[in-house]
Amino acid sequence: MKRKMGRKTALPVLCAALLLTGVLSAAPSYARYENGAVWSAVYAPEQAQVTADMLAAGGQTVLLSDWRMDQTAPRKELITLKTTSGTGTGTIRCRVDQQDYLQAALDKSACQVTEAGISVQLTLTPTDAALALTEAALTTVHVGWCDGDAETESLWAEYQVRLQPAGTGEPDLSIGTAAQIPMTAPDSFAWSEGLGLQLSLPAQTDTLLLQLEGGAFPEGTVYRLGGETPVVLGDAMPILLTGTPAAQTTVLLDLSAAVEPDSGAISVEAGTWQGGVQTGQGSVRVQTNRAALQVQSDVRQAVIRGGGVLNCPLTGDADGLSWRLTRLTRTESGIAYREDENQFALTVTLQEAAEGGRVLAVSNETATAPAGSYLLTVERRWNGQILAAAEIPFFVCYGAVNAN
Amino acid sequence: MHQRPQEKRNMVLRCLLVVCVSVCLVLAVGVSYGRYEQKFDPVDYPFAADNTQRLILGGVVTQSWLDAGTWPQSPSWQVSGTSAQLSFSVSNGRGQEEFVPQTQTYVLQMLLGLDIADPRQVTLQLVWEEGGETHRLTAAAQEIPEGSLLQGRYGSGWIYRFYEEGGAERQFLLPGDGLHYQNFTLEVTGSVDPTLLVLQAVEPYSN
Repeated sequence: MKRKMGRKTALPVLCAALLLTGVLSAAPSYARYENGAVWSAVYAPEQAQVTADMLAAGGQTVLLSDWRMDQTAPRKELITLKTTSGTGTGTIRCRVDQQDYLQAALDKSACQVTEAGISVQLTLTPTDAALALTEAALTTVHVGWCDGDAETESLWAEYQVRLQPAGTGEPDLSIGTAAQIPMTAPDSFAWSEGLGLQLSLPAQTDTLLLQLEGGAFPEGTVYRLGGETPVVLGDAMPILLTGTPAAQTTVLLDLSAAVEPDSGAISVEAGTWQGGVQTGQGSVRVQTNRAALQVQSDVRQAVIRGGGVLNCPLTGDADGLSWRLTRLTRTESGIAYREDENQFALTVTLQEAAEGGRVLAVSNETATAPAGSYLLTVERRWNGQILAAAEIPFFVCYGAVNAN
Repeated sequence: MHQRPQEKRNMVLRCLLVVCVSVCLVLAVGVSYGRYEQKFDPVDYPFAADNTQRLILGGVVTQSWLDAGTWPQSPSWQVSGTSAQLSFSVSNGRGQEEFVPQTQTYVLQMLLGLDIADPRQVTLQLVWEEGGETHRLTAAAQEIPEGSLLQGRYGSGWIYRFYEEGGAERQFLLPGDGLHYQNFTLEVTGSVDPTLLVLQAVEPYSN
């Protein structure tokens, strides 16, 4: 007797057959993809990135010493531009913001910058209005660098100079004997890293003065209060903070561009005033023998394939060392390195290297970290301040590819 | 005489079932054969590049290599300033007696990571000699699709393909009647952040 296939039987069979068809259709496509040859490397071209001693990405303040208006000769400030490699081109420009007390001019506009560097001269000339000043006025000159034909400034600074009326006497701020103020710093620091200072200021302090070895900080010294914009000393001078500094003030000093490194120690002195009366003084002495943080990595080899490990040799003291990983991702707000819970399949450990020294080992042991571009940021911190940082870009991929 | 609707539906279902089962059989046999052929392919290539058994990516092939009976192992990759040059070959084997005896068609494509915010920041030019002439093609970039196999393997970024003037992707042929190879030079230009660069020689339409 011929048995007919019922609708109830045919439907599940049909569904199963359709599913199988789908799977088998996809398999040859995947097999086709697999039938190929793959080779990989890291493309790491040299970048003719322009840097400047007085200008910074994100901007900074360059503080010039006070200018008494009986000294009418123009002031000339040099800006040195360099490239990290190759030759870069661009334009440098300046403008005086708001006040009509100064005229500013640069001796160059379009520039070709090399690794050897070029100097650009900023000339500041007081106007008649400045010469007639009867009270001090703070003037600002903006200087910016634009890469290539770009209109946006990639490096810039605000030069600030306080114009003093002619005949004004020098302010008398010398640190004398007064109550001790708590002032702390690390025992030692490296010249190429920052030096953190922590000060507990007396109540109602309106002036804080910092000196290096009892005198001025050299030109090129950079200081930063908390997370504020860095300030570069355009002339040798003490650091003078007025207004109402926080009761717990943290100052980060960077002397790397200002002082020739040597072994020994440096001392920093502080004095506080309130209403013209000195209210406190303190000092710290810091050894200069700390080994600077250095993480060696060759970006051309920085690829973790599958469940591999990337070893980054590390030198320098490990005190205060911390690290974090970010992954390059695209979101609605753009492409940026971001922390991402999926990347925690990667682990970072500080290990003793077999041949001596230490390595930071980035491991993808579970082979589940998303493929892509990563950044390992290594920092040395003191009291929450970043004293030194190094960034190591690396890549995770799962194609069995070689690096040549 | 008209069939009843119930019988008509059953007839359609049966026809669909027969078609599906037939397709399954054909595909199953094809895939099995493909696996068999891949598994028992007599050629085994211990190259540094990740070569499957059919397409071989290696260094530039020269007459001296052929005469010596050896085969250049790895492509040559040189970064200089803001450009780089990759010299490589794609072949169907690595010896006069060791080749895949089927004609193969392949395309070349490059993957670059998300480190390049705008794919126009990098120019990729493929240069090769064919028929006594020098050919040059500039690659066009597309985004690596989200959730694709490529993204899973290499991450987000860009895929660069080479198209002819007519708009078709440039395909290359390796006949199966002997050892065949094609030398290429890939010129990469652009001042960008370091990024992973992946070269693939694959069968057409495989992504």
